Amino acid sequence: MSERKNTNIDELLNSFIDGELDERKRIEVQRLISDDTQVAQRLRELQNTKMLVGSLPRAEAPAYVLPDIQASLEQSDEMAWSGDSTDGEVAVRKRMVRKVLAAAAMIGLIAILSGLVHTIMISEPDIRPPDSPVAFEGRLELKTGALSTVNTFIEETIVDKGLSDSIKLTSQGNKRVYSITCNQEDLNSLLADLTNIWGSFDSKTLFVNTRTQGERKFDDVSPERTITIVNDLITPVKPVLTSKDKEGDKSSTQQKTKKQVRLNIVVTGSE
Amino acid sequence: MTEEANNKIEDAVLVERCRQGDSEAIEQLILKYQNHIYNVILRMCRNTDDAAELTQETFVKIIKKIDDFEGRSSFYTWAFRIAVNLTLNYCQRSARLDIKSLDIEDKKRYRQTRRQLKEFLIDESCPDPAIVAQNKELCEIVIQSLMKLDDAHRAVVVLRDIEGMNYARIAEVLDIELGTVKSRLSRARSNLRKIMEAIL
Repeated sequence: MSERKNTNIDELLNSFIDGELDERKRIEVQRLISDDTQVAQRLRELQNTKMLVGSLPRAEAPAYVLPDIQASLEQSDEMAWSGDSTDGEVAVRKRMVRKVLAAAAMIGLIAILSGLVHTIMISEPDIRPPDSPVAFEGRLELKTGALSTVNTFIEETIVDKGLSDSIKLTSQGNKRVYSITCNQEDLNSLLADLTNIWGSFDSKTLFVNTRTQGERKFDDVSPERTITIVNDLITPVKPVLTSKDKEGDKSSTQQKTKKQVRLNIVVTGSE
Repeated sequence: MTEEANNKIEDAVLVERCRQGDSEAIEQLILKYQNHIYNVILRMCRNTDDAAELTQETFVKIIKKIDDFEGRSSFYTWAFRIAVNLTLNYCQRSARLDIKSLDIEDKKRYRQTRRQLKEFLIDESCPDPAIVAQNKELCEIVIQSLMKLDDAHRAVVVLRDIEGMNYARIAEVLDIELGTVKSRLSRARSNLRKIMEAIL
């Protein structure tokens, strides 16, 4: 069978299984299926493929979507949540206010608990990024004349390291930002691999957010230096000491490498 | 009157009330379609956070543009056109790094599931959808295979096989000819099968 004919038959079979054929064509296809085992086999293949996709469980929108939409509409001062009110609108608004108050109370409670945990756990001067759930936050700005080679290498390395789920990628013109949130060990491993293409960068600058000293800049860093800086700037969590813990600070080092860090690698093509 | 006709009338009433600033109508419209729209977006972009954000963006756009809705297509079609366009733009903007991980990581992890998938693909009788739906790993492989399709092919498969739209509606949502829907869907399913076979 020629490729074109196969394509036509595939289209016909797909329309058949989707119930998109008129009576005459449907009968033609049924005859074709009973006369030709290859066509019958192909029909089963397409049906099974369709079934596999159709069997995926239905996902439901998270509960916060509706209030978020309403909040966005309120913010943009659009129609419904401004202007004249009907009884229904008042009820909706009251419900919204209750939700907002509940959310605010929850946030307040979390803030108090966080404060308590912070006071108990951390005694050293804090140089972690302000209000950040990660132990380190920074930006590595790299400029290169070989943008596509570099990006391909970074992407492959990310995949090889199994870090795909920890990365959010955004592109704008000749700039690509890899936002990585992972544990320190994984970040070190990724940075170490970048040594192979470090020579392709015309400039390498690391910016680090700290609570006490604001943003700090490190020019012309190497992967090793970057790893060292990240390591130095992570504040180890001081555990509540038990007699067992007092044996040594091994656990502290282990906790350190397991802490979440965030690094934005910004790769820009130099003209 | 058919269910679709009833829906159309119900939507037309809600849309009119939305235009007059009735917040309850807006809420009803969102509640009626948010799960459908979220599910389609999720199967197109995979990431749950991004899907929630795109769903939110879709409804904000719908409400803001409700005065522009002329009623030439149904509200359902119009809403999905906005959702799909936003999602396709998102897909173009963000590179899909996680797709590549399928071959390297999951091939090892899903050995047994791959065997099951193979059985499903060659099964002479159509496999039971309920069994597939219960198998999380199998679903994950199907989702990852879907993500390996190019955006246009994935959109048409999701609208047909997940949302259950007919060809005419898909043509309206994607603003393409009916013939293009047929050929695109045919190629998409064929490619999807090849992708799944390649995993085996």
